[in-house]
Amino acid sequence: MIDCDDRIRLDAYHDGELSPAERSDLEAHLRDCPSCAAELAAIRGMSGAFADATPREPSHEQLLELAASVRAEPSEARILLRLFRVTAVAAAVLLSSALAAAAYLSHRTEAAAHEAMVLDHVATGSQSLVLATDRAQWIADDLRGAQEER
Amino acid sequence: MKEEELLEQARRGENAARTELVMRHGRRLFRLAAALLGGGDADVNDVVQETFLAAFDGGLKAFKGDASLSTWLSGITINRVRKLRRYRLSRPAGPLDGVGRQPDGDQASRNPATQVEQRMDVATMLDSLPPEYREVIVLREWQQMSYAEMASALGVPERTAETRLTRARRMLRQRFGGVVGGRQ
Repeated sequence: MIDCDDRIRLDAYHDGELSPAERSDLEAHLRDCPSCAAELAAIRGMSGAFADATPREPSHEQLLELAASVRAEPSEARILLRLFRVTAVAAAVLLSSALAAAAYLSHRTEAAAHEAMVLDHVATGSQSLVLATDRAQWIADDLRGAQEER
Repeated sequence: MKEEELLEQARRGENAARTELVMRHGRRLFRLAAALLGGGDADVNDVVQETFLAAFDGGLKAFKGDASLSTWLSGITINRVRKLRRYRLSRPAGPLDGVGRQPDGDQASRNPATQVEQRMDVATMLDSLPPEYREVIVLREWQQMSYAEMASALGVPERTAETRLTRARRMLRQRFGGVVGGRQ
């Protein structure tokens, strides 16, 4: 036996949403419960009022106008649009590549400058070493010459 | 042709596929938007148009097949309606027409007086509901969605959709029970 607290399922019964078992239980309850039976009749009455007053229909012309209003743009325009999109993507790729190359070259230039500076330092150092060696050689030669004069 | 294939073609910009999808789903989405908005033709047309454009211009990538295409499109429409409603609320109040207050030719011709009268009753009832309750009533009563489909379209758990529907119907019975309560 279903308690009347379950009346909420009267709508589901009316709408054919109950399982066969639920339906059977509820029908048994309806036989013994005039209150639920009356409420079910009221639900049916309300549904009937809506069934008798369906909303107005669009005319065939309205549907055709609707179909025309949601048509895609002409094929030529679509081709142009696609071409524009492809061009835009290609331009973006080229621009990105150019920026990356510029950044790389800039880095390389800085590295090269740094390398040149280091080489310059090394060259200067080597030159000093040569001069020092030459000077030592001259001193040694002078000393050797002085000894020979003696 | 399967709807997934149509979707893919529509996403690629094939207009025949777009037209086919509009002809398949436009009528239902138009009714949904009209019922949710209760607004004039311009708003309804705008919402449905935005729904398809969102779907064709990128939203299709979000379609994973968890729900049917129909349910998925309904979800987009619901979101567009919510957005429009927020926009309306942010502006000075204007009149909101009731759903279906302008009689449709074919249906009105069957029984014009009764049709218009019933629509006005229903429009009044819907206008009395908070938006989230209006949504579930429309989805269930007019779009015939299951609870699972409602949950998917609304982006809520199934139990939440059911609870909202129960509360919405209860609210309508309390307010308008005398008008429609006699029907069996």
